Amino acid sequence: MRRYSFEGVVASALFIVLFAVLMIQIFGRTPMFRGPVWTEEAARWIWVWMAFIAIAAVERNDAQLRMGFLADALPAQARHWLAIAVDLLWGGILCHLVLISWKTVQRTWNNEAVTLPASDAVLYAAGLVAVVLVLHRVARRILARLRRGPDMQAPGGPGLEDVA
Amino acid sequence: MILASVGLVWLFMVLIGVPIGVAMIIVSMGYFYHTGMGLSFAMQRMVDGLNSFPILAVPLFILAAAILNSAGITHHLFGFARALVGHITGGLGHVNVLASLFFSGMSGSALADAGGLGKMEIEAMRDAGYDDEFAGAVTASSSMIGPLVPPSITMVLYGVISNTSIGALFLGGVVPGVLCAVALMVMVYATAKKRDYPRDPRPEARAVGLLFVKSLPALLTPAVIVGGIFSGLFSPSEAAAVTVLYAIAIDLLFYRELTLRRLWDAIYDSTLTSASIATIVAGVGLLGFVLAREQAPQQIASMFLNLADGPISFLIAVNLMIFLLGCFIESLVILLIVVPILVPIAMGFGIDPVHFGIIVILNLMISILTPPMGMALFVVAQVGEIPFHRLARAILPWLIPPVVVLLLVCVFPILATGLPGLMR
Repeated sequence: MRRYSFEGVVASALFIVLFAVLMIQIFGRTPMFRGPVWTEEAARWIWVWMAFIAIAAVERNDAQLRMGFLADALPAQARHWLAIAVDLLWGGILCHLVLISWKTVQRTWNNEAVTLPASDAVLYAAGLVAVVLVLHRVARRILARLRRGPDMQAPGGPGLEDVA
Repeated sequence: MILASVGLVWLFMVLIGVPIGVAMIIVSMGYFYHTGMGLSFAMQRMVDGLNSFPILAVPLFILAAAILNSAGITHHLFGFARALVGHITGGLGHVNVLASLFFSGMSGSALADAGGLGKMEIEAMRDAGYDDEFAGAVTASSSMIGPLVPPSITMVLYGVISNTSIGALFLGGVVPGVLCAVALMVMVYATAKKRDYPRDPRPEARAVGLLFVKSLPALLTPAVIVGGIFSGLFSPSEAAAVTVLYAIAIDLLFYRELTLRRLWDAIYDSTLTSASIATIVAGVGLLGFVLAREQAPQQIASMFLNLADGPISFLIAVNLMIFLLGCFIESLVILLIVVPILVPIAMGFGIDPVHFGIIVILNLMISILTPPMGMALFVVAQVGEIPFHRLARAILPWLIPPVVVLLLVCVFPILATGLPGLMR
């Protein structure tokens, strides 16, 4: 598997933008001025977009935080079918979340942000984009599991070491 | 009844390997389908769970630690710690603890410490004739200092969920963190004396001085963070961004090991790590609604009020509960789900939220050492190539020093509230 994913690269680029916005917020303050007012809201929105898009990259690596020592005790075949069942359930819920997210975007379309010249729908659209991307990754994982059988690589990758 | 079902289904899903955050979302959605309530606001709650300015400190502190790690600063810190305490009885054991204390001033995570420094520490101890169990146990137990000394991702999250000053928490953790290091060094000394472990020759003062100068920029990181917050120059999230800038600047000026490729990799990996935390935070946004609707806080509060009649008995009950939960559940989950319910009860008993936060965080860090679900044990076993069951047995006596510090912090609140009080 390639190290970088499309979602991961986009989210990382957003992380750089987030950092730049915070630099503007910090260094924009002078003894005379309090700095631009939009930076805090912009930083929060960029963080939401970055995090939601990156969740798809984490799903691609199958590297979400998990415990699963009961699953590890199961035979490979049972573990394989259990993983497919869980992914199907997760995929079903994601399908419904696409619909819910779309309705959320519609509902918030006329709400204006506090400091940004944009609708709140731009913020909630992050959820819509994320569930579509995550659904795509989960669907591909189910297909890969069905194709490769129980020998498919175990979950892993970045994400575990920096948390606690 | 519904509340118990939600809890049991979630626990079952987590145990069969469903990712923790995903299990929260699935269980919450199941609850919404069952009750027909809250479904249309599900996505809004998840987005709102993340839409918080203080939480921005989490990805930025993760990035700062990743950059400092990519710049090879861990080697300098280890070398400096070795020059300082390597000649004392138990030499490399002390070095292990002191290097973790230094590293904790750059990284806000215990597992980053165990993963980042662990391999180097265990290999050095193994080469010097220390047995694997001792090396692994010291490495794992010293990693728990990380989230007690600023910066700390756990403290940022506690500050956000409990509406407590993150700056005060950062300062509040310093004394307990140093006490943990001292307690572990006492344990190292006693064990090394009994087993006659080797120690390094005493280095020349000039060599120590050179290593100190080399490590100084990295050692000043916590001072930049805490100084910036308490001088009013920036908020904790801004301090995290400044730490990233500082990490890049000190590499450009002093270490010169960071390439553009390494910087990009650090950003990429930090983004993904932050996203795995974000999934849990978003899941908590959803599950929190379920718990509130089922009046879980009130039920748990009445249970504690029946059990405890004062602050000390309350703290004993809370510590026992977190310790037991921590043996089986990931510390981040306990922090985000259980702790928000406990904070108002603690304040009702007149316990300072900073004091309570430090107790909870210290206990959560002990939980990463307790088998069967000790995350630090998994990481150390992996990087040190030590069989998990041997490490799980070897760690047990090493729980004593942090537990003693936990008891001291419970009984003497000044240990946690003294430093923040001085800065107010």
